[in-house]
Amino acid sequence: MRLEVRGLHFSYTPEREVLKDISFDVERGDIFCVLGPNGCGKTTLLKCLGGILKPNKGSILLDGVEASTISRAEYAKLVGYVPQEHGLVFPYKTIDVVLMGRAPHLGIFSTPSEKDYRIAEEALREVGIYHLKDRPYVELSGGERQLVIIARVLAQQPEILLLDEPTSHLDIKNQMAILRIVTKLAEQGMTIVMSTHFPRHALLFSSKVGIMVGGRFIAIGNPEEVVTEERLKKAYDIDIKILTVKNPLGDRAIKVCIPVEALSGRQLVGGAWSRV
Amino acid sequence: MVSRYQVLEDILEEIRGRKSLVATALILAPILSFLLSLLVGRYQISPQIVFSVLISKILPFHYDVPKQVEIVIIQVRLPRAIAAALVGAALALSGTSFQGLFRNPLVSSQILGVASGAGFGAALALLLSGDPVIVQVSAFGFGIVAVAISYALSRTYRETSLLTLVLAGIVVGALFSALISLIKYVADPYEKLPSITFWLMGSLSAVSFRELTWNFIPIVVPCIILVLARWRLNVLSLGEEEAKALGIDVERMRMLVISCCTLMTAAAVSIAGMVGWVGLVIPHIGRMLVGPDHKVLVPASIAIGAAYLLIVDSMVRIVSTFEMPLGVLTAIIGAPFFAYLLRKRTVSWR
Repeated sequence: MRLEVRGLHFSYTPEREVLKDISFDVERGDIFCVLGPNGCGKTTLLKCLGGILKPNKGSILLDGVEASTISRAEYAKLVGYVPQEHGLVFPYKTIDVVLMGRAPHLGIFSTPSEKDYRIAEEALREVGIYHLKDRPYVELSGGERQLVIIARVLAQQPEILLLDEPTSHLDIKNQMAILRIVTKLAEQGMTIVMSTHFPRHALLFSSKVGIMVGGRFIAIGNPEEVVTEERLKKAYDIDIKILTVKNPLGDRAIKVCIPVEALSGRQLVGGAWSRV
Repeated sequence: MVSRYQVLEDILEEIRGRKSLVATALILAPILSFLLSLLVGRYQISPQIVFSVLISKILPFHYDVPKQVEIVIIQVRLPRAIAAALVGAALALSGTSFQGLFRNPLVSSQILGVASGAGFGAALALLLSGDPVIVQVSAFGFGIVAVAISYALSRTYRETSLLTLVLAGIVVGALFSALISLIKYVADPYEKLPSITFWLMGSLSAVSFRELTWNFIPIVVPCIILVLARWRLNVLSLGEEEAKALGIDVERMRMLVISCCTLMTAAAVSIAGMVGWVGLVIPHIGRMLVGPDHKVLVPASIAIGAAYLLIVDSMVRIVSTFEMPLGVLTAIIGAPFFAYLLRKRTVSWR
């Protein structure tokens, strides 16, 4: 499903506009990565796209259909949202958490059927944590929880998937596990919009990158062209070096972003930073 | 100490594992406590006579007992047992629903001020007229008014935030409690004050079928709605944003749950007076037995709530020659039990 955003504005209070004139397109099967410093409006943008916040101005189009004309339940069948933080109060079992993804497909007075259980179990298998099915969600590790929430959004069977910093708080292995799943979903035809704090993830996995500063995109497009040292400096306000590393597994070189400070030869010696 | 808790937790785990056993117990508990509640009372009647009289009312055969005995069973004990079951179920169910909705295991059915409002309504009616019909209607009405005020107060912004709603509920509850004190202060200390005080402590001793017929619908209809919509409570307990992202009209769903709980609690309070602790403790007992999934927890809460109040109301009649106020006994049993649960940390939430 094609996602188009035209001239989107949003503010929590009238004084301060958080999103200013946001426009972009994402095609079916694309992974659109939103980069930008803390507080630049990434989460707000995803919440607007997810129908959680109502934009003040502008339009969101799903395959050309204006989002505000779609009912909440219908919208949730098309657009899935994985929040950055999820607070569960009650110690539900993992399978019960995943089952909640079926909510938009169920009427107000229905409970999940056998079919819904099968879809939820299939979603758990898809992300590789079927064995955690009966464990209480609150007892799982951070990486496992993130996988549960992704399984939940898969059970929702949306066509557009929004992920808010899905890899933060995770170790390198779990980061890769999540990104592998996201890539697979995009290959299956899902449209993906994700925010991230890792420019190298944007360079590695995305088909399109947007760099957001102060509620505005300063550049959108092909990752290779958009992610430059100048733009990263503008976004994060520190000097960043993009290095090209030979990929041991293939021909394509890998680009990595490193703060210049880390390259300047300073090392932690005896508890204090010093030049080597 | 730790080992003793561990043993208890193991036992609980064991019980939880045997689902059919738990289910059977949850079905049998209210039925058995209902029968028990028909048997006890100051007027001694043998179980055989009680059941024969009851059966003779349903099946077409004649059973000869003194008129007085029949009145005690049919006009006094039967409505009282039905009332205890309805009130217990209503308070427990609204407690469970509110804990899910507010995502807070420490709220109870009274969080939005419904009980204080109803208590004020009853006290006002007792002060001004004393007619039991007016007292009931006034209690029911003011219970709903209190929640409506809480809700209106929290709606100052574009949408209701749960935190503002809870705070508004506390404010409204405090206001109506103060008004109750005011009424007690101005009430005639010989005629009016005792009846107001006694009403506020809660009792089922004066329940008749007439009161039940009025309150039957505001308890049973919301109860059915909540049972049918119970799975949605799971989704709602994820919090506003996640529930929205899962396609739920959070605002409307909240309105529905709050309306149902308010109707049930207002009706329960207008039948039985202030009966505390049921709406707080029963949901936790339910979670201990069947887990947090509302699909199972909601029916379990109804069964446990009904059984609990039936048993406490029977104890009210057994423990002493005078009738102890119901609200006092539910608190005397409920508060230490809840403290015990807290110590044991089986009251699970994160």
